[in-house]
Amino acid sequence: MAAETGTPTTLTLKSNDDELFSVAESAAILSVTIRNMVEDGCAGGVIPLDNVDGKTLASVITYMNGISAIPADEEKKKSYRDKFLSDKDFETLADMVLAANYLNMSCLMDAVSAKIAQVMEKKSVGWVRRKFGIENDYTPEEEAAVKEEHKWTFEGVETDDDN
Amino acid sequence: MQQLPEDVIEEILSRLHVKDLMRFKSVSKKWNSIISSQHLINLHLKKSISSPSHRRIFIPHSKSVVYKGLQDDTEELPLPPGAIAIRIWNPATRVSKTADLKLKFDNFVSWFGRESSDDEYKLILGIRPHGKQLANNHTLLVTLYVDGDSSNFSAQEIDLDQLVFKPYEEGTFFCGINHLCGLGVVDRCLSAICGNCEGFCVIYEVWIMKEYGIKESWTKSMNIPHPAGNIQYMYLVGVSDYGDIFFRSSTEHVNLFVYNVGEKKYTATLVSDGYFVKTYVETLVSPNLGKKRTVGAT
Repeated sequence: MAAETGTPTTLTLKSNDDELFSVAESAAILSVTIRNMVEDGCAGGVIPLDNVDGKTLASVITYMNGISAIPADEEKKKSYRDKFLSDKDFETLADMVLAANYLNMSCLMDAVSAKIAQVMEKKSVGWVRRKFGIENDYTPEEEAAVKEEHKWTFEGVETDDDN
Repeated sequence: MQQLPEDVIEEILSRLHVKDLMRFKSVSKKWNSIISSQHLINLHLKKSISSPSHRRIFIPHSKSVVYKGLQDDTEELPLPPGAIAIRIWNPATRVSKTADLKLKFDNFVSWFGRESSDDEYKLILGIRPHGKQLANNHTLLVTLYVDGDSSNFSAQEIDLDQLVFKPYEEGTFFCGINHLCGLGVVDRCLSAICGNCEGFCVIYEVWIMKEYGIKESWTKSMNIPHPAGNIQYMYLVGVSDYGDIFFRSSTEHVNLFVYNVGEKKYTATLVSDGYFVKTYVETLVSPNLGKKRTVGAT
């Protein structure tokens, strides 16, 4: 039992599509959800993470290892986060924000939310609906009215190629 | 993809610029209601206050960028219809409201802000009311609470008695200072900049009200020299997150001055209509918001 031999240094995480990942406990406990499980003594075996798929979990673990290898230097951590998120597409970012929310990782949550907000800048209404999978529930008249009310906010919006 | 839960959506939306948010009200009814909610307005304001990219400067009729990171879309400034009325305007949402103060005064400087401890929005004026004896050109600092919703706050219905009117005692803060040049927010505290004439030498004093509403907490934080050259009195425009203080001068050829506190140096820029230049924090807060007080039965 883990409790008898001292805290294990490596944890095994299981994604919802049954992929197994080994990760240093010191890095994994950046997630408050995982930390609570460790503190409750459930970390001896495999930790199931039912809301995260293998692809996203692999990415989150890369982040955990990367950020925990940086000593307490906020500037360096910030530049690591920026670089880590720079090549992620919208779908990956959306999966990451869900994972960060579920895993209760505030630093990743802040960084990914800010990145998504940055991507959304100057984007069209149609783009947002597509990317967020939102159904337009306005009637054509209602939509025209709400657009008319905020007409000036449609100036300078990026054009959609794929709409 | 999976739908993002509402709290995650709010976390993302609270970091957007106001213009994008206003546009995204058209995404769906759900998004419209999230973006219009008081919860998101407060969350967004909290993020905006600490985000340098949400600090902006309003310069009317100017398409050119005069200051890094703060450039603004511009439009016609909605001026109040009468000299006594004031217009509360949010340049980020372009929503405005007119309030008739029914108070005769001149030389007023104003600041609109939110008091975090009671979540109320206040308009703070430095005025010289007519028909009131004030020694040595002293200025009264007056707080007006911004009340009511759009349906009952109008120029006709608002009476001075119905607003909470709290004059600070004259002479306590402005003792020895004869010219209030501006109100603003420095380090999240209400601040006032005063010109202090000593002979021919004008020194600007920055005063900070460390605890809002407590006049004993006014503390002088620094002196700022007058810029060289034939410039008359300078008025505070605002403060940036980058340690810069903006002034405008009242000379004929209006200039915008930027004083960097760290370097103790001025830079000057020529802008038109400098009278209305102001820095602000981008926010969704509507001038029509605020706790509803009883507006007396008429």
